[in-house]
Amino acid sequence: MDLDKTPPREDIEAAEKLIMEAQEMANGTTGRKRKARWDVEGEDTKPVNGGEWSKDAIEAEAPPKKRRSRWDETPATADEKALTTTSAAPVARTSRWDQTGSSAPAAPMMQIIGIGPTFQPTEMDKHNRYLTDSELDLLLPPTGYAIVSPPPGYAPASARKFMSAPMSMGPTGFHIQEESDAAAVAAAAGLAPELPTEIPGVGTLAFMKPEDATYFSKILKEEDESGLTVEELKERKIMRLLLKIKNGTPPVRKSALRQITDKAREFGAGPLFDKILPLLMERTLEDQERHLLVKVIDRVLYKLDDLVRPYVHKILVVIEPLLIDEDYYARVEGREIISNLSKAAGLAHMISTMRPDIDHADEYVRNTTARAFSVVASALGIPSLLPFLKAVCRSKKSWQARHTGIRIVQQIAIMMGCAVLPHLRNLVDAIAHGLQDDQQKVRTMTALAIAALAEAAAPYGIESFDDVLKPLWLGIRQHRGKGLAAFLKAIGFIIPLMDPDFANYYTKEVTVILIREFQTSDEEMKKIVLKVVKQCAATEGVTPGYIKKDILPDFFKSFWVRRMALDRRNYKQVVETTVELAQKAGVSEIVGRIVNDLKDDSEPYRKMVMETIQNVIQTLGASDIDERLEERLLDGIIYSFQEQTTEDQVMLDGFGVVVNALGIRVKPYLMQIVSVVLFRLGNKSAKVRQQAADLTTRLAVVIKQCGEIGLLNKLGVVLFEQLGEEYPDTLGSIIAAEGAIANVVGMTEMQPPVKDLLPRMTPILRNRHEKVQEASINLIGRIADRGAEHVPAREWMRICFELLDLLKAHKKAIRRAAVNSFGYIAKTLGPQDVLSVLLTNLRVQERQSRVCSTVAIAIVAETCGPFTCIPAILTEYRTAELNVRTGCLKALTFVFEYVGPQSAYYADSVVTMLEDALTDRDHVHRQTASVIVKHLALGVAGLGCEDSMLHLMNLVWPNCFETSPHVIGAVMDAIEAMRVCLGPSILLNYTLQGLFHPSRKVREVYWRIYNALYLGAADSMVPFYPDLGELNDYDGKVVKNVYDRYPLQMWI
Amino acid sequence: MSSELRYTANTQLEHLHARYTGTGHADLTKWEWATHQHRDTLSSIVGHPTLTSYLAVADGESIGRIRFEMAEKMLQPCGPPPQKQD
Repeated sequence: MDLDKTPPREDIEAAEKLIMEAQEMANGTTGRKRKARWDVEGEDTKPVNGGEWSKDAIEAEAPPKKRRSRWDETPATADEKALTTTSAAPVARTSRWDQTGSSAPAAPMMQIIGIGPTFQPTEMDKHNRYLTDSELDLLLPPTGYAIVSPPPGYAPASARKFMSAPMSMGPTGFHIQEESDAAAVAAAAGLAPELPTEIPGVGTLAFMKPEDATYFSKILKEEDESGLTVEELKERKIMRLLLKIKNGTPPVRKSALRQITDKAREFGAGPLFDKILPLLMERTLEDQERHLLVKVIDRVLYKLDDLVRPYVHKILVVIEPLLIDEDYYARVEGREIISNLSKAAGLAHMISTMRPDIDHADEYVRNTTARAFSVVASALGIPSLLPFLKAVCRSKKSWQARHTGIRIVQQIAIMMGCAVLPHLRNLVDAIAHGLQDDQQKVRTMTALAIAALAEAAAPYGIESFDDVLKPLWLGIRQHRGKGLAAFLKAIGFIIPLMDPDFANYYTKEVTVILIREFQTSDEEMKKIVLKVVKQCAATEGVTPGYIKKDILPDFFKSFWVRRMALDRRNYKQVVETTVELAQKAGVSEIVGRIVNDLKDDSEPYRKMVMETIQNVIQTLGASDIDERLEERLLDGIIYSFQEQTTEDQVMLDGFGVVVNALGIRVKPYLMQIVSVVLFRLGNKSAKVRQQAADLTTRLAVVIKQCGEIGLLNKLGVVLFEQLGEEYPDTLGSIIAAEGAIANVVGMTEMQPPVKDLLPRMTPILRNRHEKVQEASINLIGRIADRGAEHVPAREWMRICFELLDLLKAHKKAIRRAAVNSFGYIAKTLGPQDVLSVLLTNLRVQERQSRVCSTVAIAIVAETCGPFTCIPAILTEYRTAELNVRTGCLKALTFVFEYVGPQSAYYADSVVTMLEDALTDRDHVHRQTASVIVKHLALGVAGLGCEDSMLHLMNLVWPNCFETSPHVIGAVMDAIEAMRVCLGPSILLNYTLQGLFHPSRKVREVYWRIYNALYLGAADSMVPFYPDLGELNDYDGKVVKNVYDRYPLQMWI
Repeated sequence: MSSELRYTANTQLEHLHARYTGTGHADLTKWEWATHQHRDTLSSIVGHPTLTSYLAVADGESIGRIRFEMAEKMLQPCGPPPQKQD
């Protein structure tokens, strides 16, 4: 196909003249400039001759639409040589305008983005790309335009500069998309719209990425396949299947996956992995795509079995990096593949393949190899790998091999956890000698591996570590730095496994070194030391006296310094270790040492102190704290609470925990605390006010314990005055605090009186903020429950109307609280008014509001007795409106669910309504009615309503052929409930009619019902099975089959 | 939602049913069904001591003998499976 129909010379010259004239005429330069950019390579300049333009346009359209045009690229220079044939270079030459003389490429162009070294893919976003040539073809009229050479001063680099400035882009223009629906969907999802999602021989794909185009270039175009060899055909077949799996819609993917699995042996390992592995290496691979490819490998491996052997190494090279990926799922998938690979290839082959990598010069390779080996061990069992491991760990050839071998053991322990226990001694023996290795790295790794083994084995297996105890404890006296840190870590994990006596002895041995290392400046060492102290302190054998005398003084000197509070990880570790020490040393010992620091200048440090005190007192209580300490403690807490500048929970929680632990002992300080709260409630910062209110919530119980009702009332009144608060978070806290006070004081003594408080709450209910809503509804619900009589009925009705709005809340807790409040209110007011509010609400639009109303109706029925509600619901059901009728049915489902056996009194009253609903055309009606029948039947089981239930059963039964999932679910439930109510025999008689029905559709449904029946009441069905004696197969001579159940025919 | 349910809820129920012995399906033959019924009956007799002793009295056998016989009968209680017609 010769795209390059260079016109005769005179044509060109004529066109050039034309252009020159046009240029002279043009005043503005922008238009010209844009035209000039249209073509960069001068020698390509072609004039336009009418009909050919449109022909070209058609030809240019023939290959899939181009994403990228050469507008975006600096003109081909040296760069072009660097490009491979499949990458950007030919792509740039998609239009005939760009083709130099004879170089018309035979292959249609592919869309490749992000490969060429000359531009950034991000700049090629569909929003800010240049017009492609084909788009220009569509936009511009076929005559009157010429493509001109760039002006002499035109610098190609400026195109690059413009690209990053979106303002310089012209509008893309409009043209009708002539692509499939899938492409439109992909475009809407923001995926590259110009990439084809229709591939010949593949069909419609869910999406297509530019990177995919490189991998799948061979199948993106139509080609004559008759000239291809078998191998090439196979390759294309594999590529198509892979593309379907990776980019296809679920059904496409499923069938392709099955095909590739079935044909795996036919394709062979080589061609398959040649295609799969490069895809997996792609950097831009999404999690989902990787997951699918991993799945392919999994299935293919299973089929290929030992055929995979020659490719084991290749696969490992690609998969091993997944083992150290940041993403957890990538690691899991890597493990899965290697595990399947080792099952397919066999242990011997895996070892011989990975053997050379064990003493690889590169640390990274050794690391991944060790991890891969640990996966092999978990797949094929530790015992099979043990001889190899022993040999590697003793390797004389290189220390790297020993190092990797020991690392394998470490990884096995980390990965398999307590599953190492049966092989613990063997594993420890295999690496024990590494503790005295010449190489420091090997010693360190050995200690780490032992730590991992001990951690995995905890709390068992101390006997396996006997041999390493001595070298470990000797080692900590010999080593320094990193090696020492690893040794200490190992010791830290071994000590908790020991018997108390030994633990005590060994702890004493190690303490000297620990205390020496308290002063270390190495952060890593600090963390390990803290951890080991924690582990030692938690052991049974270590006595409180020892900790107090030997560890605490140095510990506090080194770690309770301001500097430790600055780093988050150190902070946490110090708090944890101190709390652990407190378990042994006692509350007063620890709190006494740090309590003065509550008045420290550094706020992070104060926080660290507070958090420690909080945790210690929470776990151990405050009974150990004497009067003097108590005074210092509260003094410090009040000080630090007032001094805090950052608003977080630490101080608040600490305050709450300490005060509640001290209980009545806080009484002398209450005056002071409350005045702090009152003072802060008036602060101009909303956060401070909020915190003060939150503190009130936590203090309320204790203030009551101390008998200071006066203080509570004072707080209550102040909070009441604050209800005009404008910040919703703060308002929520204030209401919650008011609620807490109302809770402990009681509705009668509450100050402000409930009759004043509630009307004030009514407008707040309209607040849309969730926290405010939840706090208000809790308070109102509480008042409705305990002190409803203090408030006039009119006010309650007003609240009822406001509550309806809360039924739409997003938070379930709010909706539930609102629904419960209806029950409380109905209890005091009598159900009529509340009920009419709720029934009217069934007419509203929002489904959620209606559903909640139905629940509320049911709750009203439960609290005030069903007789108050059921007549009203039945009357309301006669309304012609669909929503109301559904609502009434729904309400009845809840009513009968809640009232249980009481339903027996009402069963007959609702039968006529249920008749109507069960014979309604609307299947939702029948569904909801079936649910009512279910609850009713379960409620009245054994209460003598069998007649009406049988009637309902007859109405429910024909619905068993429904196909809509919700309906059939409800109907089957109703039938099951009937089994309980009417007994299985009646149901069995119904099912017998259809078990051997000529129509399969009928049989299937009836057998499903039969099975449900059989699983529920197999034994009770025995007497009711039909007598099959007449089916006996007896041809006069030989008895073949006897169907009589003779044991049931016995008679005495 | 609905298609999801169609593929899960009901098929799950059927899977669940299929896990138990004695449940049936649309292609069950009369012999298979009757065999299940017989086994249910026999196990019910063994499981209810009063029924076992009733049969023992009727047959004039010991209770243990009845129990043993019932258990023995459970193997093909209706005879061998009939030959397929087609």
